[in-house]
Amino acid sequence: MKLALERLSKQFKNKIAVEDVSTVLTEGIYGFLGANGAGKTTLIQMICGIVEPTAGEVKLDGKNTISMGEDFRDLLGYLPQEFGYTPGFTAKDFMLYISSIKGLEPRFARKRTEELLRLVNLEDEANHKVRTFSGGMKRRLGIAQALLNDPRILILDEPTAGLDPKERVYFRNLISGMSRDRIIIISTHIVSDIEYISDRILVMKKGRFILDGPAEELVREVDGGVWECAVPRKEWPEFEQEQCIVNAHNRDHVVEARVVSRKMPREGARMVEPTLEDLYLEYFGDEL
Amino acid sequence: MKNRKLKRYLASVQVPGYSPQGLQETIARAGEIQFFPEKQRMTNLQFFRNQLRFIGKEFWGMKFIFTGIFLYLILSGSAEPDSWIMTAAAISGPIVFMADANILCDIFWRGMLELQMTAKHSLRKVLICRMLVSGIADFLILACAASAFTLAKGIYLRQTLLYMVVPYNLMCFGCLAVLNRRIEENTMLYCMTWGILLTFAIILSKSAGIPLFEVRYTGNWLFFGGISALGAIWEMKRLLKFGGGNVDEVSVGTFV
Repeated sequence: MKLALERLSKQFKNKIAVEDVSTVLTEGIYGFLGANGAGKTTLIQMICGIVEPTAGEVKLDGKNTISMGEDFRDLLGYLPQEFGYTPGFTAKDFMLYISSIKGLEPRFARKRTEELLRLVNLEDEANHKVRTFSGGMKRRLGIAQALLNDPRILILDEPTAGLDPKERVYFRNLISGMSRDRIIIISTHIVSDIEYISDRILVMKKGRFILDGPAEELVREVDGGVWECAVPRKEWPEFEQEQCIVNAHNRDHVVEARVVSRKMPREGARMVEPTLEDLYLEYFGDEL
Repeated sequence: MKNRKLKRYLASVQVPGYSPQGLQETIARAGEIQFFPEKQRMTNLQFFRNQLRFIGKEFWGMKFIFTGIFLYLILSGSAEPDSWIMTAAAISGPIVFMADANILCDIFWRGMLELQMTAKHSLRKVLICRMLVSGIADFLILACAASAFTLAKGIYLRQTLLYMVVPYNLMCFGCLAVLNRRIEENTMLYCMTWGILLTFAIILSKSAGIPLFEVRYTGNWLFFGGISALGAIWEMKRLLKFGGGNVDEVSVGTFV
């Protein structure tokens, strides 16, 4: 299976959201990483067929996905950034409704609903109204609905928003176990969501992919550029202004800092192993 | 006799030769049907039937209650052109359509639209399904009510139908126009407001002594009926085009 994005662009009036994006995705997990407003959601909406590209097209195995229509959507599982539900629906009603529009055979839909609600730990809440759910529970329900049709292409937009750390880890393991024969796209600005499970990370900025590769390869971009140092408290305000700070920890008279810098930020700083978060800050630090 | 026929039939059947590959293929296909129900999908007819389950009890309840009240009014009230029973007939359209607006607004709920646009059965199909159900139910209710009115009070059927259908069309036109403007969670509120405005307009006309139901006003009713029917058709086409469908549904989206 080959999902190709061919010179995709989207312009909303005079604002370019996505500009000339091309890539080819095969089975595996892909992380679309970028700050808020980088164009990730628009790109995902174009892949899903929700938004019409101003230019370019999305092809699955050489066929235009919009022309494929139902055949393409039958392969698709999607969790939008803002996931809604009809008021009055219980979790089970919601899952059965989504199963219906996904065309699942009713007996199988009921079985699959039970399985997935169990998988996302909502089986005890199956008959409770969705409007009474917490943000994390709604997100888990959203993940469950995306999996209903056992999609070959799974697209998750900010899937871990509202999940607690334990749920995040559970979600990552769940997704990791599903990647063998499907294309999974996770769009996020949370580095840890994709750092360890993605086969490829595509970093987006101002509507373009600026970096593309496996996490280890991308991290090499900042090799030799990450430092740890202790800065006296009185020098800290000036230092903080000048440097790209990843972490800062106040000790007695000093601030221990992790810094991304192409040159040694100050005397006594020691070079450390870079992470994807360091890379992210290197590229998006100016947008904070 | 039967046996001879059967023998002739059996003799005519060409049994293909044994093919190990064919046997494997048959077993594999049977296995797929048996063990992989996830690969089975509903036909369009099954989808339509399945969708009926998601039209809530409130919808049918509202229709049922309305029909009961209306029949009671018809059988108990006076049917003179200046009587309130005619006014009740006229406001029945907006009231009947209120439940329809609710089931249509449900699928345009914030965040729900995107899910529906990426599902196998397009939003257009879901819309058509709901419009058909509500349209057929309303047609039956209005036709029955108008017939009962005619039989009980001896008024021309066409006249009664006109008084019921024109406000119904106006309500339909307004609500579809609201849906097309995607006001999301406020859609139902705007539809209800439109319905209440129409209802009040009819009641106020009656209170102000405007003889709306006299035969000389039939031309006006027909004029508004024509305009509202054309408007409703136009808005319905727009909704089906931009609200869902394989090609057209892609024109809606949120930014970044």
